[in-house]
Amino acid sequence: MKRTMKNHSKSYIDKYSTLLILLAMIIVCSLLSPNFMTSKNLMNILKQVSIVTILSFAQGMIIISGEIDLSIGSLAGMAGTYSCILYVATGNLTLAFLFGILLGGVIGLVNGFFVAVFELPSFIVTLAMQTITFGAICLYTGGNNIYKIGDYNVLGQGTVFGVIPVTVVFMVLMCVITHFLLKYTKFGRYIYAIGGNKEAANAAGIQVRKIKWITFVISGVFASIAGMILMGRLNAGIPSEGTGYETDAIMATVVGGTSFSGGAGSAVGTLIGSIIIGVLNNIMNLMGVESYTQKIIKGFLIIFAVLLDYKSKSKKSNVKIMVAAADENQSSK
Amino acid sequence: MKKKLLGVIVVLTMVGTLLMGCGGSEDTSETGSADAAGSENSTDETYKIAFLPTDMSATFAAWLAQELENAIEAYPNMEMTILDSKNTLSTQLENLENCVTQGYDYIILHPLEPDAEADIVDRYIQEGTPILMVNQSDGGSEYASNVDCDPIEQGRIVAEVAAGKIPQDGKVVILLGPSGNSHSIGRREGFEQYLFEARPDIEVLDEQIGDWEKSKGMNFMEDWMQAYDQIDAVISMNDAMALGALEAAKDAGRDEALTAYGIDGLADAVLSIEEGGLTATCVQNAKVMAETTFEIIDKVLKGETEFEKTLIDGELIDENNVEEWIQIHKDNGQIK
Repeated sequence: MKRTMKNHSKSYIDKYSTLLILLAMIIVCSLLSPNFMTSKNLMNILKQVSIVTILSFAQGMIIISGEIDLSIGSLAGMAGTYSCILYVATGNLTLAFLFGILLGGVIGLVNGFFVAVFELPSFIVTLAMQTITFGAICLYTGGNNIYKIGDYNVLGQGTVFGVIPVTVVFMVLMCVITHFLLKYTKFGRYIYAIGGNKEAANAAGIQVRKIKWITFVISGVFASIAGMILMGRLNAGIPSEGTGYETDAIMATVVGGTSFSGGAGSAVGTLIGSIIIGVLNNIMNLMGVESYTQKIIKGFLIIFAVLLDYKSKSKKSNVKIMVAAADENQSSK
Repeated sequence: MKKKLLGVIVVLTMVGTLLMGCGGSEDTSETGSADAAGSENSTDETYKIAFLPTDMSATFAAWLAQELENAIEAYPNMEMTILDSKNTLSTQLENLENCVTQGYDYIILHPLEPDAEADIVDRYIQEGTPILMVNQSDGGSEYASNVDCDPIEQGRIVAEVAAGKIPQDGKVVILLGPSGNSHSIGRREGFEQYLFEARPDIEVLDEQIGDWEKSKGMNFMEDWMQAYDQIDAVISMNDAMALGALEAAKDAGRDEALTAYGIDGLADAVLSIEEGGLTATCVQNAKVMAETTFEIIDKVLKGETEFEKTLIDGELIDENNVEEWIQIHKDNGQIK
């Protein structure tokens, strides 16, 4: 009885290990720089991580299902820029926004088609889609950027009630949606099941193909939303700005405790992982750390965070196995 | 179900290849007849010229390609093919090799890494294919022609404006291009010589690598504005990062209190100067670069010279001549 209590508090700590890392970082940072703990600065951090975080929610769902999506970065660039083009042409923000989402959904549909129906490796399909989407936008713009996007920039620079940036509102909204999908819907439980063990999920009657397909469509839609916010923030349609974001998203997801082999992870964890990276970038800039040193420190912190998380997780599963073994011994007696 | 789909796709692919095949053969027959016509009038031989840009999705490379296409119209005996290097050195080297083996008469190389490519370029030239390196240094190549805009000079042009505008004891932040990039290093050197050495009262608060990206310029500026109460100028090695920093400053209501300097002079920069955002930039005029390139090619192909190295001047753009540049970018299609 005593032991189970101890296990309980331990697993509690394990569960929130990434949150504890973040809290520890915040305490250290506020001691390091007097400019850190201001509401303006904290809001800046949230603003800066919002776009990568939204992409991370998409990447998180895909990774939990045991796949990967390398197209989200350039898809964000493409959908965002096309949406800008449509806005400049029509002046209708709703239309431009819906068009961006549609575009993201269609690309996701194509990704999902090849991954789910033909069972091609998602790594290859989405890598190919990365060059296709980037080519598709550059073909139209001829390498030029889209300027004078007018009020489109409210998507990235606007505020709600004059204080909360629209980008942060989007991030929180997407977090709630992802959390709801993963925790409270059949679809979410199926994603975990497929990522944990595809054959078992199939045997249990889950329509693996359909679920995977839907996951890629959601990923495409999320990427397009991130892209439109990015262009709004930049106050221009710049296709190349999206490229490379997919790796940042993978980083945030994994730091946030998502298992790279699928089957485990959460929206809140991803959010925390992304904020950890954002806080680190911010404090190093506040303190004027030289840029090459910044890269090295960032790399080490990420390894450290993942290591800590990995250690706590593997301990937990050891405990589980031991408990299960003990139970088995007991029942066999 | 799956088999059916597979069948449909196979059929579609076959039809596709069939159609493409037709298109392809038509093309070859066309060039074939053109060649035949050419050999009839054996006096004017057509020179095959290849242009190997760094990355056609980059605005400057796209502008340069377009100006080269305009400039070649003055030489009816030349035709140009563009082979994109997609910002990858290995791709560029493969393209270069292919062009040499396919017997192109002249290659315009827009090098990604001039220092690494110089030896290879020299070897090809000695084997009989003349090459011109454009918009970058010649990387120490002995025989390649070169048309470039000196990056230190570009830095100087903007630095001299900045030296006149930044207040006494001003505090500045600096945004750099990717580490090791020769243009970023050269431009920074221009600022060092003509701004920081000329104005030792100026204090550099911080200096960071923004990889030419607008979003990174924006992120750095947001953090800097938290750390420093006074920022009098943003000095950036390209326009995009300076414009990102300006977006951040505008958002915080601090854009009126500072001046911002960039280099490149493309559409985004001139529009910002017109609106009173960016203070000054320096443009490498792709039109002049393209025209100079073809003048050299013409001389080399006529046998008047073996190679020629030229530096073209950078041009300052600020509020005084911004209208003129808006018109230029309207003419070349960057501003619609």
